[in-house]
Amino acid sequence: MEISVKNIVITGVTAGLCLPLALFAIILVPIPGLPAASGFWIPAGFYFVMTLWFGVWGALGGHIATTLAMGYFFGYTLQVWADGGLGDFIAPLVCFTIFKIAKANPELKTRRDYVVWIVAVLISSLVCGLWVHTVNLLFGVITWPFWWIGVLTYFIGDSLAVLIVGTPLLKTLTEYVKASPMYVWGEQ
Amino acid sequence: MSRTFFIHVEEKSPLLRLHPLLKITSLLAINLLAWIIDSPVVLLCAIVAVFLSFKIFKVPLARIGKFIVFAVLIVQAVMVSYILGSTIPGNMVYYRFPWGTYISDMTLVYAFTMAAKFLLMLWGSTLLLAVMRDIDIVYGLVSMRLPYYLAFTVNLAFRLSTVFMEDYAKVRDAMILRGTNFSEKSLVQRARNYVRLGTPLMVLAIRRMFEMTNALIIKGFEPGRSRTYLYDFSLTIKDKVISFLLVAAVVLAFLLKTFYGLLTFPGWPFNG
Amino acid sequence: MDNAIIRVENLWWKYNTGREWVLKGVDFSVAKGEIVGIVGPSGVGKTTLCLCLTGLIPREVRGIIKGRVLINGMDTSTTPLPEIIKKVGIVFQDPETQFVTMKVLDEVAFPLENFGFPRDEILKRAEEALRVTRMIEYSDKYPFELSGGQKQRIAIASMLARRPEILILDEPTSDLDPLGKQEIFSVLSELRRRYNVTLIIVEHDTEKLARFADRILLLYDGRIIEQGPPREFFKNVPFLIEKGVYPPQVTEVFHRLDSLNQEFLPTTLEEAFKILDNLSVRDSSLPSFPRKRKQSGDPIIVMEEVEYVYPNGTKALKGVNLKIREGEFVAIIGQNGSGKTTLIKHIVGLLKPTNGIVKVFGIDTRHINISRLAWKIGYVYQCPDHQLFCTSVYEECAYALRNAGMSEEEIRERVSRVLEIVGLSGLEDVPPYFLSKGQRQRLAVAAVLAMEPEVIVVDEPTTGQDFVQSKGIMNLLKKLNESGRTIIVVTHNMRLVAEYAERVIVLKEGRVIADGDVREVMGDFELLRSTFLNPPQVTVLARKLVPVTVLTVEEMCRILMGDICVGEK
Repeated sequence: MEISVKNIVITGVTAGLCLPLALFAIILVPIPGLPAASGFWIPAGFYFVMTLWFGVWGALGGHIATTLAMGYFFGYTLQVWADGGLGDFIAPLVCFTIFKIAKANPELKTRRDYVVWIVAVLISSLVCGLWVHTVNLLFGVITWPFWWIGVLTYFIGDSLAVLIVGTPLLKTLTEYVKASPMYVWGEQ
Repeated sequence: MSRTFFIHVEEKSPLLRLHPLLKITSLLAINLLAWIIDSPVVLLCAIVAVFLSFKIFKVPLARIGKFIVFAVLIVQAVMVSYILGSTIPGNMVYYRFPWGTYISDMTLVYAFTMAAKFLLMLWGSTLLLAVMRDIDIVYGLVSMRLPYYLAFTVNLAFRLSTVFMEDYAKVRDAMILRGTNFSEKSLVQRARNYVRLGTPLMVLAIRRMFEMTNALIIKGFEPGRSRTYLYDFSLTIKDKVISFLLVAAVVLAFLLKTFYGLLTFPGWPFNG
Repeated sequence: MDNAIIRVENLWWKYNTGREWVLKGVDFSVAKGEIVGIVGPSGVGKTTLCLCLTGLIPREVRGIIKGRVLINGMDTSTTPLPEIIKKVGIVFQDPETQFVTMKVLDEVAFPLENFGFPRDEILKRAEEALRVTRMIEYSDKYPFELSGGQKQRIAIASMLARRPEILILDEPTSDLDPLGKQEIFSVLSELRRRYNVTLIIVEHDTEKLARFADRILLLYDGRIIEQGPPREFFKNVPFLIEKGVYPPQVTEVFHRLDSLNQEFLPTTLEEAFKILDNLSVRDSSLPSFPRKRKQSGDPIIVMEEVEYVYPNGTKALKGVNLKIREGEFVAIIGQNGSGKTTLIKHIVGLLKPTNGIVKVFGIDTRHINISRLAWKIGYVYQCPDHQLFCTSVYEECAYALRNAGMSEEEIRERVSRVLEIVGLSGLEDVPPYFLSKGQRQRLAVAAVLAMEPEVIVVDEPTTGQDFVQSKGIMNLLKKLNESGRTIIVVTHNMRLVAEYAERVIVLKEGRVIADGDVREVMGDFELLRSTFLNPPQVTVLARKLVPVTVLTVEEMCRILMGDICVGEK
């Protein structure tokens, strides 16, 4: 896959936008017992939407932001990259894939689009909640009783944030983004 | 004074003049050492060493002060997790939970140990990130044979994060001036207020993407094209020695723990 | 034109997502070493044309192109983009989006690194570029800490280091104070002298272009409809004004004076002075121009010994004392960094003084809820995008009213009224981000106006706007002032200050160095020079003839038409 300047900028801007939001989310809504967990992962609302608009470059931006933000508090280690960093790369891509397969419109024009959106968000959040906290368990960051709490909070924290933050962004801005020279949905 | 991403640091600071590759290697080494070492006493000594390093390397200690809150958050998260969810064997069990875990005399020591790991990572990272400039990230990652465009992307993320934080503050002020109450009692209303911040931030992000793309293309930036560099960051003998020592420290710690049972939990004086 | 370095032949362009053609058969050539100015109302396609000249359109931006652009004989549609950009550099309006590093020297070196220049060549060229742009002593500085003019000079330096044959500048001075503008044009003169660079400058400031450009093009409705050297270009004043381009004030003045039978209309002060040398004035019949500052009401904003220190230690305000009365129209002027925005943030309550007191409507701002104060004092930001956060024009205006719990009926009535006032009726359902910059600025004013504040504070309302739009905003503010509101405007546009403001407050390095009737302040050339501000052209022109401070073209014409002997001395 050829990488263009546009792709680099999309990734960099997405990461730059999501990085401070990730820092806020870690500080504002921490979950007792779960280091690096946030009860409302605000940046997810942004990088999910960026992924739907700009493909893998939006997801990469989310990945970089999460890794940099989490790493600052919880160490620049393989564990942090593997759990939150990778998880937040996989999650929006799962959502993007479901959208593409279902041929839904990111503008959320019909009821079907909304259903696909909600289902895609829930599935991707669950899959990645499982990923993240299994990695955490394997690295000994959390203990077994907290594994299921971790999965549940990830699922709720991410899906809530994506649905609450992401839905109005998709609804109001997709048309604007489609008119911008940066939009790549049709080219994926 | 020299400007780094987050603060100004004295020009004389030896850490500032460290080779970019060494800054990144040191960052990774501190984090890996924190991960490997399980002995609470050794971790405590390492934390003290990091604190002293702020003074020795002339990095403003006030930097740590800003993150006391975060440190507390980390400690509470870890403590709660291990107090409520672990089965650390010890000489005495103080309380058994209905779900099968218990609090022993070693539980608190272990919880403290885990908290110390994260604190070491947090403050070690703070020390090194405080002396990072954009060229350190770029040259450091490129020295590790990563493609330039990847290093540039990470650099862009850091740079733009401060720009977006300023945008966030301006938009928030504008909303307050139009009657928004960000301290609403209702969670739903609070969420709506914060969500509304998203629209202008996204619009600004999209506009910046287009302008920045044009600007970079005109400046000849092209991923994959070979380029030259203004600065010469050749590794000196001193740099090579330091990098060897850093890698050796990590390897040694791993070997001591794995094959000799040192640096393990609970370590002296808890194991008698 | 045989030695043309740029040839644009019947260029048509439509964006992929646009319904209309933006460029409709643009045709022109530019000779090597020529300086060409491009003017036209906002939104007419000037930036699009600039992007076409760099090859970014059509290579990076999707759309439909017809015709061609030749840069040194290379067709931008078919030649690889790296070849084109070796010849062409472009500086955009906002230098900050062009900065990618944290040090001035690194910023200027960045393009050279990308093109693979050897290290010693990079350093040599970068330092030379910084010397030419007079930024060499700032090599180690962080670009974002510098003034607007300095940032723009660094943006120029970073292009210049590559030594392009063509340099395009898209509204390079729109965000700058008069000193910043002067610095940029001075650097451009130096570039031309040293390197014979071909310059294409998109500008709204016709006074600067008249002095500087070899030729000026008028882009209107996607076409070049007029072009020529400044004297030729500005000949047809009514035509230009009808197309949204205001000529230099001196040109306007002499255009109105048919009786002078001039061979040509002057376009610069120097040309106008030469003409005036042949005229005499009967001192005894000089018109007297009254003070503009009217007797206003009670003081509603009082600042006493106000000092403000930012967290990084910068002392932005140093003992400011002033009173603003009900019903005044006040302009706050000063160089970038003089403390203007800090001052108005204290007025609206966003900042609290480190020392001293700010009282608004008799209450200390330290004890006021900012949201409640906003119903009394509205604040319009310089960048409208920071204060538009709703999904439609209607919702934007209704936002504050809903927060206050008003009924839908009252909201509907107020919104409809303010949209009528700002000229955005009919656009209620349009999302704000689809509006043009001028429309977004007016929407920001409308959103604040809907709250019916007694005082309206507007920060740089004319930045990036053409003169017609700028006058439109100022006319709106004037109308609001006539209806009883107090208006406070921060602006660099001295011509508009002279035309609209009654009172001027001059800030320099955090202090108020002048505060009085606009005629008095504009007449004090020494004072304005000390703050690197320039009075309007007509003011300077009139002073050559008479010891009276003239503020507008109309006043100048009264002096020249009504009370002089017209003819040779």
